[in-house]
Amino acid sequence: MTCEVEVKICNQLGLHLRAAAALAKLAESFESEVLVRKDGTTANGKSVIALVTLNAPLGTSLEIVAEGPDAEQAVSDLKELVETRFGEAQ
Amino acid sequence: MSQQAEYRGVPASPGIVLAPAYVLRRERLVIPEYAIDREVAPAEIERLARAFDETRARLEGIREGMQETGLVGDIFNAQFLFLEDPTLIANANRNIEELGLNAEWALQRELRRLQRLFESIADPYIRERSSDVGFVVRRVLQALMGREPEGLANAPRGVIVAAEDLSPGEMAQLKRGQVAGIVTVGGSRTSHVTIMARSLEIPAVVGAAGGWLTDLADGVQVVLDGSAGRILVAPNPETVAEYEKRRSDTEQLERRLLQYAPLPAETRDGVSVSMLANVELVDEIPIALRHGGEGIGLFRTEFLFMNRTDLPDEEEQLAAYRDVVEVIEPLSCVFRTLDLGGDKVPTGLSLAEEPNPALGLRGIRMSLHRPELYRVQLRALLRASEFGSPKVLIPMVSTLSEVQFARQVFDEVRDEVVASGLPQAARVEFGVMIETPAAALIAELIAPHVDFFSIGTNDLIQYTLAVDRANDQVGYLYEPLHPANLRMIQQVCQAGRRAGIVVGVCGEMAGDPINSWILLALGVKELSMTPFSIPLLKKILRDSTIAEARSLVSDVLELGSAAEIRVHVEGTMRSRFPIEFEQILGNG
Repeated sequence: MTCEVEVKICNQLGLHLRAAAALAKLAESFESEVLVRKDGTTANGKSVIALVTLNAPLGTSLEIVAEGPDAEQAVSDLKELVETRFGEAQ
Repeated sequence: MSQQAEYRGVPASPGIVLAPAYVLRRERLVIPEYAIDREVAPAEIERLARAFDETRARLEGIREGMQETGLVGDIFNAQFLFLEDPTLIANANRNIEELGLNAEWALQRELRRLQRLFESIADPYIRERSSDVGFVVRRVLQALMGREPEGLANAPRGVIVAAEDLSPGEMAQLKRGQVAGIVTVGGSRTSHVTIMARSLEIPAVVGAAGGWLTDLADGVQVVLDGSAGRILVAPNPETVAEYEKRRSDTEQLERRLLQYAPLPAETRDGVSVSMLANVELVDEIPIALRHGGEGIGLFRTEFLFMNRTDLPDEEEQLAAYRDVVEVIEPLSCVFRTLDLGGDKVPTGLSLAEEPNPALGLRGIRMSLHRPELYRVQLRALLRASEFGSPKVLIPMVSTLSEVQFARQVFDEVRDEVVASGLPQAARVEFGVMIETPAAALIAELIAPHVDFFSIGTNDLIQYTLAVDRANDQVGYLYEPLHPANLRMIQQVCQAGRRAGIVVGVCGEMAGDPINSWILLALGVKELSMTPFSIPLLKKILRDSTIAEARSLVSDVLELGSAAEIRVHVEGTMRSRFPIEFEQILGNG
């Protein structure tokens, strides 16, 4: 199964190291493959390096794609993580 | 290099040493590049995996060492994230499988690709992470090639380590007393080299420019002055003699003065002053106590917010403040709430660039602007009262309404904390820093709202005299004994006396013994300074009387110029304490 969702980075610092690490850790907990797309670039959602080098500051639109048995859950949990600003105050 | 040469940098960790240089040169790794046959690709991938495992084990070892020294490595932890990253490994494996490259070449190729990616990113914090990836990959390459990673573990004893820069992992290998000093081309007042050198009590100079490292050979004598921030490479015999003398004089004086550390700073006619220490790290507290500190008069909290991307939450802050108050207990510690701005903007608070940061969004102004940050910090500080005696100090106030706002929020948060079952929080004192001329002039109006005043002379002088001391063109105008500054301090002390609250001084002016009589007679009750100055100040105050100090102040307040005042004060102090001032000030 493939699921897809669009999210907007809404934390002050954007997809920096700590945020990327949180995203990768959550993605890692799913069996599905997770991809994060920005414009034409695709990053492995389970790789901190790939996520950080996507260069996604505040306001960037990203597409999260999951493919696998738990794709639906993965996409919805990851969306929530981004939208709750990775648990940051701002 | 036979000619003596002097270079300047940032004074990172105090102390003077003369020792041979030990240059940490990064070996240029020559990466073997060869094509492999398809059949051996699985074996090559296996070899790469083993190198990753070995590197992980080695870094784990370093991390344990760091925990032993009590230095938590946020910067260091990023390296583990990269070491375990699937992108790095998967792409290197693909280079082996699909391009038929050997493991070293495959990994190096992936590193180059990542470095190009990092370099294309505008955010400087993300771009800097490229060096962490580089550091990790270098270690894996060294494991693949059977090379020992270079480091300081094998540095001979008693040398001055010289390097372009030192990674947190390399610093973690240093033991107290192993090396005599550290000098690096990179680094700043807040970099990890500085922080770790201070806590290990190793004299250090960082940010030393001037190309001195290129030609420096192992074994060349270097004089390193970590207090003044300079190094002398290949000093001539006269300089060496001068330094040897200065060092032995300083050591002798220090030993003699340390006898005064445990004694109270009380004049012969019975006026006493509390001697407190300015401290930035919990590791500095034992040094403060050994030098006779009777508490911490200024604990800057910026350190918690620097060199990181996220903001410390309440629990993390509480843990940090708890460590401090527990160590200093039963004495108290004054925590200055976040004072950011100027050159100290952490990555966690991406703020607009300011054309004139000294006059910008700093201290209490930031707290008004981001009240949630201020509340979280207050809660953590108030909760720390469960474990010791914290006090709260608000920086950079300039209006009465700021003080009222800060106080109101403080009272609200304190009541919450008390209500949550922590009655100790009710006795936490609330003070403000007097460091703007505006605050000094309305001290009388502010006093009823606070429990104490702390005069921050560095900023008060800069703002009163409109002088940036770091500016070579006008720095000479920076003068603590300027009559305007003395009148400001006098007025604040009077306001404090009338309101019945304590007035302290925590700027550099407090630690300079030349000013001791002046501050004493103006009515300052607490002096907070770098721990190393406390014993001398105690000795001088114990040998003095308030009567002679008052007579000096009434003389100088009649003088019109800072220059006249300085001549008069220095003349008086030098003739009264010839030995002490001869040794501190030299002949100059």
